[in-house]
Parts: sequence; C-alpha cells; structure tokens
Amino acid sequence: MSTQETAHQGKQEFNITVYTENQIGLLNRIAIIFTRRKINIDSLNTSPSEIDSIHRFTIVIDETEEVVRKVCRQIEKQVEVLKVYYHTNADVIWQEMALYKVSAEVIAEKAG
Amino acid sequence: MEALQEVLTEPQQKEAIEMSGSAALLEALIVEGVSTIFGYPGGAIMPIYDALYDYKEKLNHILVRHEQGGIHAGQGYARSSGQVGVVFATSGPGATNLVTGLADAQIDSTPLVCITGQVFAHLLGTDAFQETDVINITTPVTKWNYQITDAEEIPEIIAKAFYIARTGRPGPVLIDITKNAQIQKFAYKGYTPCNHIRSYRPKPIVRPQFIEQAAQLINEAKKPFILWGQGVLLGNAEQEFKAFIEKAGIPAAWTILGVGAIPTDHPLNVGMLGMHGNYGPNVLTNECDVLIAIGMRFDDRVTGRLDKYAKQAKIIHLDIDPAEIDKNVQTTVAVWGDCKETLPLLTQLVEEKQHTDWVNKFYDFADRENEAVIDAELHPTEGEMTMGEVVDQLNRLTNGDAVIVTDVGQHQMVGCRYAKFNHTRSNITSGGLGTMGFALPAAIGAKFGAQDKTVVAIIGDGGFQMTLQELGTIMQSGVDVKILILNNRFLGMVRQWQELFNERRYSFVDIQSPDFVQVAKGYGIAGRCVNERSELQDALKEMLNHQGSFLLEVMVTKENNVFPMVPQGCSVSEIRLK
Repeated sequence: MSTQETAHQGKQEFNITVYTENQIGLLNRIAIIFTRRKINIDSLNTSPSEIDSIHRFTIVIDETEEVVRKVCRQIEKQVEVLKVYYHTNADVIWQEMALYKVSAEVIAEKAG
Repeated sequence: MEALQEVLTEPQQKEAIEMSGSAALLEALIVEGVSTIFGYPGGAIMPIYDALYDYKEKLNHILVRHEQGGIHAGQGYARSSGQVGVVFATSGPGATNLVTGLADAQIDSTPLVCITGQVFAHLLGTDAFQETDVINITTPVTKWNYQITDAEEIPEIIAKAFYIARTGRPGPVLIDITKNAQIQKFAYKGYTPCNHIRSYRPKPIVRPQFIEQAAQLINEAKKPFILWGQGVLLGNAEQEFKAFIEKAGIPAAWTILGVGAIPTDHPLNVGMLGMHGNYGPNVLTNECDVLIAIGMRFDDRVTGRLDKYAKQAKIIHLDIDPAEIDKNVQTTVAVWGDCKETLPLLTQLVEEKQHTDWVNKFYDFADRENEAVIDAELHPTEGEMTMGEVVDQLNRLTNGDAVIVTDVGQHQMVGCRYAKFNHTRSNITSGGLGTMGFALPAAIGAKFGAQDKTVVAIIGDGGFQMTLQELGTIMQSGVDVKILILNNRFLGMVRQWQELFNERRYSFVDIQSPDFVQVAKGYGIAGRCVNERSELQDALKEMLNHQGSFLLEVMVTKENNVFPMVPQGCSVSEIRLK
C-alpha cells in the first residue's frame, strides 16, 4: 500500500523499529504505550536482531508523524529499550516474499 | 563518577554466605541506606516478615492499616527526605491496593521501591489463593517492574530497582518476589549497588549549542518569564535555580509540586501557575516574549487551553525527560538534561539584568488579586470562617517552616496558594493524579522523612474519610502529625464546579461526616473542633504545641469558591477573579 492510499487526517503508515534487551514483559510495556492512546497496531514483529543479545521490535501503525514522534520518545524512555527509530514506507526499502504451495505431482510431470 | 569509583573499588566479599532470599533482600535495603519501611504482612510475604523479625534493630518497619496507606506514606517519606520510599505488601489484594499509590508516584515522579510477595513460582498462572498478575497490572504505573522467582537474582535486581527509582526522572519500581525465592537459601556474595544499565540513560547528554541558543533568547528578551516545577527539587538544584533567576532578573512562577524551591517571599517569586493559580502569572503567560520552563511538564491544569497558550512567546524547555519535550507545548529551544547541570551553564551565559517594569507588572496584578480575592479570603471579619484564613493563621504560627501536606480539592488549592514556604521539600501534595485520601498517610511518611520538622496535614472532610484508618498507624507508631481538617460539609471542589457550570445541581456532593474529634479520641489522639473565629488562633496553637499528634477540625463556610479560576477549556488569560 502506498503512503497516499492510507493518508487520512494527516495519518500515514509508519514503521517503528525498537532495539531492546530481551526481557519478559517488555512486549506488554511497549504495547500499552499504543493502547493508552487508542492506537491500533497493524503489525508487530519481535525477534533477535543482527546484534547478539539485542532484540528488535518492528511495529507498524497508521498515525500522524507528531503522534509517532511522541510515542517513540515514550517507548525510548523505557528502561530496557536501547533505541527507537521511525520511518515512513517511502523511507524504507520493502522486500516482499511469497510462499507458494505447489503440488508435487505438477513438479514431477514437468521434470519428466 | 565518584559513585562509580566507590563501587568498583569495593572489596569483593571472598567467601559466600548461605542466606535466604528474604535475608538478602533486607541486607540490600540496609546497604541502600533504607531506615524506614511502610508495610503490611500477608501470606505470600511471610518469609520476608519472618526475616524482618531479626532485623528489627536496623530496619524500622511501620505497620500501616491498608496498603494504599503504606504506599502514600512511602511517597510522603520520599518527598520530604529526597530518599527512596520503601513499601512492603503481600500478593493479591495487598499488591492491587498499591496501584493508586503507584499511579500517583509515577505521575508525580516519586522514587519508590515496592516489594510484593507472590505465590510460589510453580503456582504462577493457576489462579492460586491470593495470586494476581501484579506485574501486568502495574506495568502502566511503574517506571520499571520485575518478578523474581529465584533467590540468586535478589541482590542484582534490588540494586537495579534502587538505581532506576532514584536516577534520571525518578519513579516507582515494583519488585514481585515469589514465596519460594524468599525461602530459598543461596550463596550470598555481598551486595553491590548498581550504577549502570546498558539500555538505560538516566540523563540525556547536555548539548552546549542549545544552552547557547537558550541564553541568546533570554538575553534578547524584554519580557522573559520562568515557570518552574518539581524538577528543580528532584535535581537538588534549588541553589542553581536561585542563582539563575537572580542573575537574569526574571520573574518566576511555580507549579504546585515545584513550590518551595525558593522562599515564598523571594522578590522574583511571582506565585502559582494554573487553574487556581495567581492572576498575574496566568494572564502574563500570554504576554511574555520568552517563556522558560524548568523541570515542569505543561500539565493541562497549568496550561488551560493549549491553542491559546503563550502563542506569542518563544519557548525554552529544560527537562531531564526527553519525552516531555514538545509533548504538550512546542518548544523553540529544548535543553535536555539534569537542571543541576544545565542551569549553571545557562547562568554563565545570561547577562545580568533587572526587568524592573516587567516584574512590577506582576506586582500590579498581585495587588488587583489581593483586592478582588485574597483580602476577603484571608482576613474576613464576619460570617463563617474561610479556608484561607485558617491557612493564614497557621502561617503566622509556623513562620513558613512547617512541612504542609495537602489532600485533594478546594483545601488543596487554598493550601498551596496561601501556605508560606521557606524551605524546599515542604509542600507535599498529590498533584498529577489528584488522589483524595493521600494526605493523612503521606503526612505520616513525611514526618518519618523529616523528623525535625513540624508536619501539618491539611485535609478536607471528604478526603479524610478515604484513608482515616491510618489514624491507627499514628496511634501505634507514635508519629507526631498535626491533622487540620477544613470541614465545609461538602465535596467542595465538585460542588464549586456544579455551582459554576451545572446550574447548582448539587449531585451527591453533600457528604456527612462522623464526629472527627471522637474518632481521633478512639485512636487515643487528642483533638478539638472549632466553630468560632475567636477560638481559631488558640486552637491552632494548641495543635502545634501539643506533644504528639493532634486533630483539629475547623468548621469553614459551606459554599465558598476558590478563585481565581481558569475554567476548563479556557485560556490562562481568561482567568476569572469571581
């Protein structure tokens, strides 16, 4: 989806990247910063980052930049959060991946 | 850096001692300098209380009557002493009863370490007796929280808890300890206080270019105006603040949590901000050319309508918490950092000035406010007594040297407006959360935190009934707290709003009270009730001179309103004098 398509009332899709310690309960501590302002989280992924022992949250929300900036500062002040960045879709490179399920028989036929 | 050196050079204990998790917790508290704990025992925290039995000489535990009372006492202690307040509670209802106090401490940046007991680790998630998910319940209202399920974790986690609670922008920390971890014996290798957490930066780095930009704006300003908040107190920066305003000659107004950083009588102290603040500071907020906010967070009760707030002014905001910058008011120059560090840097760069005409404008507004509101409130000659005259008479007797603890409502606004403060950390009130029932337990804690001070709790008839069970704590601990109930037989602030904005439809604000003096008597606390102006001064003297706690109930006028007032949704310059 392009930025223009989702833009309404100055809102657009933002990708928030949060680098954190790997700590029980931190997911909730971060999530409630959004729910407190009644912001819907469109997507949330958490996994180990490329840096050993540091985890990364990738959160996608539809909001104004002003609100995103404030939310990011409130996330960044959590004790176990190292750094927060936010980007619009235009700022980041998107890679899309698809997984297709193909019948083995079809492959076998072609191979034959 | 000194602290770091100390810790690094501390000799490591060579041999480990076998110790229970409970004992390790108490050892940690002693190393952290804790002398007073406010708490209430229960099933899941029994091993800690059992260990406490052997530490009675070193740790003074005050048995409260309700966990909410315990945490408010911890807050009062922290606010009057500047130390971390420590609170113990059991699992389940004990822990949930802490929630109001945690929310209060979180919004008012009060350093607390709360220890809650929890069911055995193997019972977590099973709806065991008195099990509640205290970590998830308290996450929104704590700076940090953590559940310990293994005694080995205790020294390190308690060290982190104190470090997080007291550094940066302070706040409440809750540590939940399962019963097995309290009982478990482990190899205790000593306690090392924490001075660094990788992911936590208590103070932002001070950037000189922003100090320079701020100084330039201040030096060019014709009508600069300072707003200060509790950050000045929390940063122990009262002297630095005074040096700054005196050199720059800038009038300064306070939030109710910031009052006391400089004395009430200081010529540049122009009064209180906000909804029931002083006339001049509110009106002139919309006339100043540079607004300098120091350690305050532009609460809506201070700013009124934001889109009409100081729009003509350039805004400089000094704060330790980057999340506060641009949260409510857009700044021109943001000075991130601890004001203990940033204020002296700014003082160096500002020119020595006196904005005499501008300061006089505040005095002119003060004269108008005196005529329109204050004289009648403080010096009535007939009719029923007013809250203001009680506070004024109290000032005459304490000379502004007492610690004043207020609850929430009309008496709070009157107390903050009219009480005189010569010293820092002497106004203790529930500012952000507005917690009725705060004052009585907070006053108990405040007295333990400032033993050499007279502590007067000014409370309304409504708020007093929310936590009056803490009279039992006063009785048993023997703490000397003066309780001044201003009884208007109404939930006064709500009644005031109903009068002004709801066509006097007094909906459930007519509150009945017991005979407070008799209630106090039941707890062995002396008391007196006065109805007549002629008795007031004598009664206040009796209260202050009494050895030990004393409850004085003063019957004040029923339908008095607190003015000035910025009605909700209005701009600060639309402040009403009547």
